[in-house]
Amino acid sequence: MTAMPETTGTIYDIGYRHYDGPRLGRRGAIGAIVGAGLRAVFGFGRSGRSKIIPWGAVILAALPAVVAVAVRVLAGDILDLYDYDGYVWNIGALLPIFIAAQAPELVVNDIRHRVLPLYFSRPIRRIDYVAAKIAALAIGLLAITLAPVLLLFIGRVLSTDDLVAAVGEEIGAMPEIIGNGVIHAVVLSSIGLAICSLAGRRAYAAGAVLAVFLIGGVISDSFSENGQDVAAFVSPLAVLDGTRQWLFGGAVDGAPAATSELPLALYGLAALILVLVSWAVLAVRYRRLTA
Amino acid sequence: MSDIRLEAVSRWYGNVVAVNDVTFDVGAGITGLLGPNGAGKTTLLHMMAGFLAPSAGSVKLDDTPTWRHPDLYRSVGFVPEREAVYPFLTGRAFVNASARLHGIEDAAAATDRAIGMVALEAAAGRAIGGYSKGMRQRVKVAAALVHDPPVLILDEPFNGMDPRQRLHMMDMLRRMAAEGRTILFSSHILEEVERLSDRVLVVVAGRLAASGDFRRIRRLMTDRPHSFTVRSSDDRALARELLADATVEAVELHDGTLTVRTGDYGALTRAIAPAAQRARASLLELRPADESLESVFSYLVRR
Amino acid sequence: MTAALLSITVRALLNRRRTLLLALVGVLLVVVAALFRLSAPGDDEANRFALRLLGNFGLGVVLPLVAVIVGTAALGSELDDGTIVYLLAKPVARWRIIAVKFLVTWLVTSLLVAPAVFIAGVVTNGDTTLALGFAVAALVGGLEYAAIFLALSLITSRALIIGLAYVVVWEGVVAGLFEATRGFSVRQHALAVAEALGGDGANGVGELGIGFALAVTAVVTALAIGLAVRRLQEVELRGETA
Repeated sequence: MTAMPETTGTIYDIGYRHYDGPRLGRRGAIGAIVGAGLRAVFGFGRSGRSKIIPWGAVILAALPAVVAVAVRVLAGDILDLYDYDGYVWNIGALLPIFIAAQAPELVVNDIRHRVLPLYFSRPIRRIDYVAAKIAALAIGLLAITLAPVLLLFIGRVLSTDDLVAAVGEEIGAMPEIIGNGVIHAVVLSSIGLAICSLAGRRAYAAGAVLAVFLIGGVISDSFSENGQDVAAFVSPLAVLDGTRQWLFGGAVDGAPAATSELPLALYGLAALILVLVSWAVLAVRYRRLTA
Repeated sequence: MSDIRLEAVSRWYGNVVAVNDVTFDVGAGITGLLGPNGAGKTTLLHMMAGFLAPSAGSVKLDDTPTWRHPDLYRSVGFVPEREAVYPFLTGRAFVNASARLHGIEDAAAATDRAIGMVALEAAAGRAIGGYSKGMRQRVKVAAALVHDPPVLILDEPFNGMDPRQRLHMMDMLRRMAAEGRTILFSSHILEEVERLSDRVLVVVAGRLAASGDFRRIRRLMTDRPHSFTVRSSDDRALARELLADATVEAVELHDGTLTVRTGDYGALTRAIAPAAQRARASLLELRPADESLESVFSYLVRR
Repeated sequence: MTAALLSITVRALLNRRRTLLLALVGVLLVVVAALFRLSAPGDDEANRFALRLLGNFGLGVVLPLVAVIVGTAALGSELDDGTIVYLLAKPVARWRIIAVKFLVTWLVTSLLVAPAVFIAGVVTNGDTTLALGFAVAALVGGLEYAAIFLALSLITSRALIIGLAYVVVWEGVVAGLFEATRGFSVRQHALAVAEALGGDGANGVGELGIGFALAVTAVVTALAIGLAVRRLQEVELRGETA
């Protein structure tokens, strides 16, 4: 035991310095949330187990494109396994799984552990936080809704003899590829996050997301086989395919919109309503949470 | 009479060793398990209560291993540290369910008795979800007592209690110990252990650092200077004389209190009277300055 | 002592908003059936719709969804918040705890699913034999799901997520694509029951023989319960931080 004089007090200078430099401000904060969100979406910096579902989904989504390109290289033009129109619809089962697994990572723990006030003590607003989270999930979803179709495009172009002619031939599909991928990503991430923001735990959030997509899909399927295509509007994926067909044309086998007698613009309207309702839910939810 | 006996017990989680080669006996009376957070107290208690398997060694209650012997709970009451209690049950329903799960015939009477012991009658009809921390703690104790067990194990039982409840609980535990029960409780608050236990087990970093009566423990630590507080008619002169003595390591005179440090407990007590005589001072008081559990503990933790 | 265990478990499961939401999923099944009925379909069409609605929606989505949430909460939520200690610190045989939890899981799941399936079936085309067949199928499938999810909640702390993944991936995708796996799909076992009991209207809905389906159901249920008992005997409680 060392004796210490008790009447004197000293504060030691341990070298702590204030930060006086420039600050990135609101835009930097938003960028940081998007960046952190992307890391969460793809499981970077997390255990191997949390990478299985997102990366598994990304790889499975790209598989048809890889196979189609390989077949084309080997067999020539005889056989077109996949076209651009139906690609996203055909891998659609992966989207709810990806969203159910990754969207809760983005929002649920912030709510559950009550750390939102820490965010809002920085120069960001509620809308910035929500928009950044949507952006992160949407960018993540592009890996499924856009990247494989681009891969298919590149593969098809490169597998021909005349590159310039091939580009000229295929470039017409580009607006559809990009437009459809982005619309899917934005609408689905908005819906996914809106559902997750209402759940108290990540597991329940995942369950709720799956429930909404599965139930919507199964109802839509049950009715549309009888030609009652109104039911398609409860399935987000069917609505989005209808929107695609409305904007870019090209019916997809098995999709409700392909056999629908309703004006296709209704699907576009439904997609818009889905997004707006999701945003409204998010706005109300986060106003309550931070009030 | 019920004894909990640990022999060369270790417990590790993966490559983290939580309890390292611990051997001790807990018999009738109150034993306090003392240690800083993360020392392995809960791991030890859970092994004694049969909720964890020891990775090595044996944990027995009267010659029966506690692990995988649910029948032992007939003679053991356990109060966990975690606060969570079924929030939708009333206090009475919770204690009553415990009684019924113990197979007690007259569950209602046992429930009333247990609730009476923790003085929770007034709140027994309310849902536990609305209880304060202290009330939750008491209802947990009532549930653990409902089958009148000879062994009671409590993990941090005083957490969240106000001083009055704390005193009440201490009285209750003392009463129960007087009936010959074996009571073991953990705490990181020294004052509680000091006031309640006949016997202390000190765990630090998973090892048993000391056990027994804490004043005894203190005396065994010969490599650490002892301090005494001395009052005399002439502190200054006495200090001068004491400094000349070989057994004295340091003398401090501060605000009229003379503190003497020595490495040899016995030698100082023999040296101080002659020194006072030489200084022509009359000794008014001589007492060990740091025999509190706190100083013993901080010594053990730091070693 | 079993009664005390029963009452705690039932109250824990029913005392949540969650249960109401799950009941709504069943109600949704009936609502969809009613909407279909309003569209005044033909007989043949109605029968095909009933098979899809009860098979895909009822047995394919509502049953596993309800079972996974109830089954993983029956013991899992107590493991999660530590209240399991109050059950474990009792001189009650571990198999008895599992038996009660299993029974309650199955009862709650059945109550939330089977009546909804029956009513939805009756509403769709008035074929009570078919509706009853599917309702009994839900009861049988519920047994198997309850055992599986109860065992799962004792194996992993992320039982709900993994259970959901199992429902979507195995029951939904894998069993849909690869016929060989259907022998081990709970949904196919239930469909076999529906076909056996559902009368003429249910012809062709199942792909497995009823004997085989029941045998696998019994074996899987027994194995899962056995596993759950073993896991509960060996469950270790650590401190708050662990």
